[in-house]
Amino acid sequence: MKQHRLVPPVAKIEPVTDLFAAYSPELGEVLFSEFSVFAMGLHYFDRETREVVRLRCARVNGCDLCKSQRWVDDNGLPISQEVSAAIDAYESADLPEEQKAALRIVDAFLNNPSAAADQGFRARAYEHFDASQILSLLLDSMKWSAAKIGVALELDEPNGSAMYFDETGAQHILA
Amino acid sequence: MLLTEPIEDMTRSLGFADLLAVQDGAADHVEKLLNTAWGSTDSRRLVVCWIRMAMLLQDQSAIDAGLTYGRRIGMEEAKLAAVSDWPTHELYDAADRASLQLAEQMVMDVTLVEAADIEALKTAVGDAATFNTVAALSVFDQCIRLRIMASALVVEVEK
Repeated sequence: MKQHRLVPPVAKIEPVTDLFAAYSPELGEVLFSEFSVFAMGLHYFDRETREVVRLRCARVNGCDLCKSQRWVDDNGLPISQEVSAAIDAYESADLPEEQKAALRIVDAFLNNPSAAADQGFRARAYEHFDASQILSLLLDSMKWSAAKIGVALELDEPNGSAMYFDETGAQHILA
Repeated sequence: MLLTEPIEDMTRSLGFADLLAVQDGAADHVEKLLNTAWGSTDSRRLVVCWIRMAMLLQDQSAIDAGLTYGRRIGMEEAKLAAVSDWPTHELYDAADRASLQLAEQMVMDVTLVEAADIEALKTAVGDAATFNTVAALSVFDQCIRLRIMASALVVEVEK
C-alpha cells in the first residue's frame, strides 16, 4: 500500500461530511469516526466478501457514489468485474455459497428485516456463520446504509474513488 | 437514586445490550449513535417519525419504546395515537408532515425522495434542522433494522 498517497480524512471526498461538519459535528463524529471504525475494525470476513456486501448495499440503496467506489486490496486492486457483475443476480451466479448466504442476510436487512424471524431463515444462516459473523454482516450493512443520507439529499454524485480500511477500521482514500 | 435522561432510558429499553452481547462494544456504539441522533434536532418531531418507521418495519418493541418516550417528554396522547393518520390529522403541522414523508421514504425506498420533499422540510424548519432530520432518520432506520435482525438471528433462541 506504500505506493499510494493516502488522503485521510474521508471528508475530502464524501459530500455529506461537509454538512455534518456544518450542522451536526457530534453526530458526524459518532457515525463516521466511532461507529463506522468499530464496524470496519471487525475482521470476520475477507475483503472480497465485505466488498460484495458493500456493493449490494450500494445498489439496493441506490447510492450512485457508493456504486462508483471500489474497496481495494493490499495491491490497490478491486474485486474482479465478474464478481461485481454477479452480485445483482447472486442466487443464480457463480459465487461461493458463503457469499450468497451473506447476501441473503444483507438483503433481509435492506428489504424486509422481519423475514429473518422465520426459523428456516435462521437455520440457513447458521449453516454458514456463527452469531458474531452474522452481527458483523449486520453492522457492515448499517455502516453502508448511512449512504441513504446522501441519496435523500442528492449528494451521491459518482467519483470512482478507491478506498481501503486499515487494521483499526479507519477508512483511507487512494489518491 | 441515579437520574437518567429520558432518551437514554428509551435507547436502553430497546435491548441492544442483550441483543449485541456477542460482540464487545457493539451495543455501546449503537446506543451512542442512537442517543446522538435523537439529540440532533427536535425530539417531538423525531418521536412520531420513529414510531412511524417502527410501524413500517413491524417492530412492536420499537413502537412501544417510542410511545413511552413520547409520553415521558409530555407529548399529547392523541397525537401519538394518530401517527398513521399524519397526512390529514389536525395535530400534525407542516414540519411533522414533511418529516414523516421523509421517514416513510427512508424505510421504503430512499430513491423516491424528491427535491420538493427536502424543500418542504427546509421551508418548515430551515437548512440545519433539515439536514439533522435526514441524518437522524437514517440512523433510526438502520437501528430498527438492526434490532429486528439481531432479535431473530444473533441472540440464542429457546428450544
